[in-house]
Amino acid sequence: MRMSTTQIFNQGVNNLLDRQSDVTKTQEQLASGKRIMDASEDPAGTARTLDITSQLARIDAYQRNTVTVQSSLSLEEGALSGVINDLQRARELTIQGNNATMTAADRGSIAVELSAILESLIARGNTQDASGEYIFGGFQSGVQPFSKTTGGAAYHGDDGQRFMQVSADVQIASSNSGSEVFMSATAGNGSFDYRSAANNTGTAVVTTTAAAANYVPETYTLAFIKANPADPITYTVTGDTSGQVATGNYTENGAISFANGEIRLKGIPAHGDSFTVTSVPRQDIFTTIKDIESVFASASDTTASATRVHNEASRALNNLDNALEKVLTVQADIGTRLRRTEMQTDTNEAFNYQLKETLSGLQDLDYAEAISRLNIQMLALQAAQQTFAKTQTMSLFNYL
Amino acid sequence: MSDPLSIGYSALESLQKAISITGNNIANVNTEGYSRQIASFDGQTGYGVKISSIERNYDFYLSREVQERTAGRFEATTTSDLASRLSTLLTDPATSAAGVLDNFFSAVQDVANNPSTLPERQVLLGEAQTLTDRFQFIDGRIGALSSEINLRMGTIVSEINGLTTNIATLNDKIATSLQRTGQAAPDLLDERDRNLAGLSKLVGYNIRENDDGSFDVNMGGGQSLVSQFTALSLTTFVSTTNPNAMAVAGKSANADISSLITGGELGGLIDFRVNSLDPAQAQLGLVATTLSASFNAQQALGLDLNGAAGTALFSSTAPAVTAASANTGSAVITATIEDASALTGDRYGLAYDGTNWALQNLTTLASQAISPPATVHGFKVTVASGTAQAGDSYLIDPVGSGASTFSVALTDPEKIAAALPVRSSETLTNRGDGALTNMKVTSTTVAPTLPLANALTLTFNSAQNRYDVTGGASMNLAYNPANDASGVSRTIGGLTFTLSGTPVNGDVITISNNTSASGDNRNMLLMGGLATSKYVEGARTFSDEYSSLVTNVAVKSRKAQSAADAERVLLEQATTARDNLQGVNLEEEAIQLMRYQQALQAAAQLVSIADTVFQAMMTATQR
Repeated sequence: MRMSTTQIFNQGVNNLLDRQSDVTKTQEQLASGKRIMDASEDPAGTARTLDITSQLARIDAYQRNTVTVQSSLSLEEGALSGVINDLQRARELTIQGNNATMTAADRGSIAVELSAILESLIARGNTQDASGEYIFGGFQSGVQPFSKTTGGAAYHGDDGQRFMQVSADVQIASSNSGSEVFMSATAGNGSFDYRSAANNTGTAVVTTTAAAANYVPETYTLAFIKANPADPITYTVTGDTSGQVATGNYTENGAISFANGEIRLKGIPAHGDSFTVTSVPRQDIFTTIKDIESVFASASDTTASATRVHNEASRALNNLDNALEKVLTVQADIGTRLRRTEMQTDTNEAFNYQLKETLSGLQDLDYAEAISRLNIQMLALQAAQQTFAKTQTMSLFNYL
Repeated sequence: MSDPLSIGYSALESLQKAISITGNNIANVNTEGYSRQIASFDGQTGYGVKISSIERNYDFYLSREVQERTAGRFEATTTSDLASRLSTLLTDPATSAAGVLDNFFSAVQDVANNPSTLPERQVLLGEAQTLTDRFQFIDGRIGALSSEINLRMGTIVSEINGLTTNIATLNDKIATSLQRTGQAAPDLLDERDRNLAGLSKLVGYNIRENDDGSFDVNMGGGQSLVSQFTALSLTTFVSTTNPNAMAVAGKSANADISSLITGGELGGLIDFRVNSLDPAQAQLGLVATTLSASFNAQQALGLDLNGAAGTALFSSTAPAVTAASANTGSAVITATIEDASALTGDRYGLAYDGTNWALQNLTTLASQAISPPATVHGFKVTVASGTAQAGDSYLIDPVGSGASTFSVALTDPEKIAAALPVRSSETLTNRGDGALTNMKVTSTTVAPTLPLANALTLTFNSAQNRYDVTGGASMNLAYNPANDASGVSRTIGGLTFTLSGTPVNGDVITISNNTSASGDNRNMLLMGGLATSKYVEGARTFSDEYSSLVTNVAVKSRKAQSAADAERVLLEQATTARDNLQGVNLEEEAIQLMRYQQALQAAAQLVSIADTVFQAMMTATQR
């Protein structure tokens, strides 16, 4: 076949250039360690790479969030452990103060310690995190949530609970509001609570209370009447709005039923003794402590005072147990959330690992393959160079 | 019967000429487009020899193939070079928007973790700034590519005009030389081929040969470039469908023939602009516009650190409306974005026929009748002032400038609206466990408007199985604890929430303004959720849209690259086929030289013998 001289030359040159560019490309790949040098080499791979990279960035953020959740929850758990310690100490003190052998002076010093516990609880309620946020303030984390009042403490926060994103579709609460932890313990039996009048002179002490589901909530007064020493002790239960709802003869440990609730007492009430039944479903921790503290503080060495201490202590114990139950429930919930966070961290990590594997498969160069490819390409380049140089010297003009 | 001397002379003369033709071939061995010339000897019966013509080793179809392949190759390389630059811009970590988008969303998460502290908020603003800078940068680079294309188009068009003028002139000379000598001068033909070869690098064309030897050159769509001895020049002007682009006009000024142009560098530039650059800019604008709109909307539903309603985080301009220069009416059309998640990224043409308005999507070419003010495809078209006349038209580009004007509007980190405007609380004296959770704000302007003038009180009414709403609004919400205890969604104005649990008659839940809620991150979580929400056209996340933009460009680049590779091979084949016929082979010329040399020596011998014979005769008759 006839070929033009330029064509022979050009083909040699083109061959050399092609081999050279092959070698250069492989060199670039080896130097960068990347399989895809240009998006156009693998459009689908590039899109997947982008997608995976942004997924990785998101997981990174989620992992940072889990760390924040864990530290927030750990801080809260620490605060709650303190609250539990305080409440348990208060419980011990209440039991101690309830002891019949206690003198007014003993109870006075218990009251001092209870007062310190109250301060401590308020301080725990005002726990701040590293950035100065009040962790029990609800959404109002910049406002000090608890302040001391004559009746205990007041809450200035709200019901807000902060959630954090720990994966694309999982949010975990990283806080609890102060109202949930400190303000919403069950009061009494959950339907009503009672208080003995401060001027009771008898020895009647409430032993148990109960309420049916259809208990009619209202403030009632349980009053004992024994007009003459020979008379039997009778009682009346009078509602603030509904008037007298029950009446009968008092027997020790007998049920006094009213408005689908009942109270049992032991001991002998004196004429004119009374109990107030309050139908408030919740009582805050501070009120519970404050109430018993003031009872101990004002105790005297009289029988009437001892009866009042017994009544109030048993009420306080009940409310302290309710408060403990509440805090323990929150603490258990925190434990669950911490475990969920931990599991999510593991899931995220596993996903992260998977994505990195995929990404590496998409992006990274197979060095063994690339190096052997480079060798072959270099050989081809050398062959092209040699043949080109040799053939170019051949010409009939050499013999003319 | 002629004498040997003159036969020898004719041979000597012809062979010398043949040797110089061979010499000329050797001299032009490296001349691009040179066709090997062959001396054609013609025996003169009894009178020796003469060179009747100089033939060119030439085949019209082989040359044509080279021209067409050249046009194909240059179109493909132009497109592939530009597309590769664009795809590098979009994917290189140093210039890509993907990484900064991820960083921005991470910063949103960090604010959600610490809504009350300023450093995280400051970082978020910084990342937002980086994000908008990057979008502006990419858009700027796309703009620079566009200007480069405009500039190159201008240069190419004047080059084309120069070449077509040459071709027309050569047509004239060839026709004259053909008429005068019966044979067109080979050098003129080669010269015209060289001009055609140059033209095929710039644009694709067809050739029709006339009887007088002249060529008519036409572009695709029948647009004439050369007609016999006349060249028709091309011009460029600003496109009516894209104010940033130049268009090409032929015979009639301002009649856009760009879409008819294929092949060559010009075809490549137009193809890249229409199929890669413009869509990329629109898609980038779409990402910027939707990002901006979605974050601003979420900001507006929240409360900032000072308890004020959130203001726009990003700013970007309204859709661009360009009135056609030929409009006769006075109508001023404005367009505003109403629902960014319905935007498409396409350009629209708005036309008035005297009674009706028609809106046409310039990408899909789908047309629909509208009566302004009307909201279509996420934007609202309004006649702001004046009246339109029949035949008036407007170009609406909803997102084209979305990326170039994308910027951060907030400077004060406290103004990031991390909190929701309301909070709910269950009264501590409630006997039941009815709860309100999952508060969402869909609007702050629907009554009861936010911030609430009066707190909303929801009181459970067990007789009616409902919550009675009092305070800021007066209504009731059906709620039957028997069926709804596991949670049911209810709405008051722009507030949507879940009611659950078993409330007792008289239990109260209040919804109040979320004052001093520096620790509330609910709105920030919703902003964080935008990272994974399928917001763009209701089908893709922002990252999806960006990676689809990259994929589109990369696929175009890949196609252009493989077309360029294929065209290169085809061009090499065509060139080889042409040059194998047309090019000079030195070995062949060497042999030719030897042949002519031998014949020349023989002819010289002939002259010498004739002389000897003559001398012998002279000697014989000399007495």
